[in-house]
Amino acid sequence: MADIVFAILAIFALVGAFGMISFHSPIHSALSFIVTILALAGIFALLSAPFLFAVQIIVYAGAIMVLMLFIIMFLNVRESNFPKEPNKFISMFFGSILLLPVNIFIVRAFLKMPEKSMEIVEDGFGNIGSLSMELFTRWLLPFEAISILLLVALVGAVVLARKEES
Amino acid sequence: MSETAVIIETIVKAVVVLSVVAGMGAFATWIERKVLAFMQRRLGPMHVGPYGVLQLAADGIKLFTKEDIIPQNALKPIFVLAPIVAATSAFVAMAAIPYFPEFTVFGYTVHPIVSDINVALLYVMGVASVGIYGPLLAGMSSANKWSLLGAARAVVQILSFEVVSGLSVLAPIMMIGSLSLIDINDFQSGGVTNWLLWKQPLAFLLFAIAGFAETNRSPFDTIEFEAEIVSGFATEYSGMRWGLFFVGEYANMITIAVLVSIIFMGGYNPIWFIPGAIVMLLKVSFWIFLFLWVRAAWPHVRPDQLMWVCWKVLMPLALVNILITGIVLV
Repeated sequence: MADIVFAILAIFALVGAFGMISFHSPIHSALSFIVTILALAGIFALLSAPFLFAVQIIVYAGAIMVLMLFIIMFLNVRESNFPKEPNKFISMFFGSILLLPVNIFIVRAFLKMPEKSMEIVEDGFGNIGSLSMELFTRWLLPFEAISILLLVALVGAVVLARKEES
Repeated sequence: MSETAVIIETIVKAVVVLSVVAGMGAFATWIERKVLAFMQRRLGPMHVGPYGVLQLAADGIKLFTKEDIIPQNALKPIFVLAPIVAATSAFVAMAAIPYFPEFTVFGYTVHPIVSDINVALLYVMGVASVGIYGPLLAGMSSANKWSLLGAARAVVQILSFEVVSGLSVLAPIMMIGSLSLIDINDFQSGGVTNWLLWKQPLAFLLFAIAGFAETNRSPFDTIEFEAEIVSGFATEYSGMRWGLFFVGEYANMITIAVLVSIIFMGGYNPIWFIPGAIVMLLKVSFWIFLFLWVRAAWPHVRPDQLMWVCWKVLMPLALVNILITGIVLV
């Protein structure tokens, strides 16, 4: 059962990702990216990581992509503003051939990994309690460093958006 | 229990929740017209059926048979997709909500929840927040200035008030220590005095205000304020496509009513001699009535006032509430 669900979600994720790079208009690209995000959230749920699942939906689908679409809406891009992309699919094809060595390297690295069980861990692995215990004990310093990074970005945005006194 | 049985049970539950909530939503439109009418010393719908109840059916027939108009400049696939997103996200959010206490039928225990996940609250709020794509896509694809303005207002308002509702609900969660709605409900068992409402009055107030704003109800219905932006994001929609937006809005209203009842008002715990299921129905009905009452009693606010109150009053209050709860708990 889990395999079937995984296959469906994986197909959705791949189709969404392909649509994102191949659609011409940014709105369609953004929408197919949302499909990928939701499919990934489903895969997290399948891996018994409920917190990651909920956060993926709230943060990526519910906030970040909404803001992206919002910006696309306000830039009011017209069809004539898009660059013409002649032979798009041929260049994509050759581009992916050029990337083939990298992919082979990744697959080889994956195959050389030490033998580990690939079973889905049972309940309690990715829920809020165990996740926050990890975050606030072992990974406390990186966690706080990332918080400061986000704070810097926030302050920067406020400074940039401030009206100049004239 | 075998896997197939679980799948069948889940599908049955999903269909039941879907049809009951859709039916309640349709009935709520009639109730809304009646309540508003009585508060304004009118009679409301009276001619179709006894007390106008069959007005529902008449409206349904009208919506289904109306000509479906898609504007020429609209982005057709997205225009068609938007109302479906609005309605489905509103219903998908209900999958993790426990409506009633569990009961036994023919020796088989039924849990009235489609899927019991341990981050139910996050799930409901997350999926409900995905519903923002409905107005956003509708406004973007309609090729209409009012639609665009309505979509902009919708995004700004819903995203802002999600911050308030998320922060306000954090304080009760800190006390309970679980995101499962069943745990939240069980935490308040044992009578009215155990309701979280008394321990977290500020969080309750903030969550209720944010609920009004997120479901686009008066006094915060700046998204489709007729006098300013015609009908907002739904201006170009007609027939059943518009009906889907409407159904989604009422489903969201019911979700908020159920969430407030479970988190702050003791959920489906029995009170005195009244069984839990009845208690839950009464609470949800009360909240739906409150939505209508407020609509009849209060005027609109301006969008800039709304943003001011959200970011400069409600959000700081929610943060202070979290701080105080943390100090008290430690």
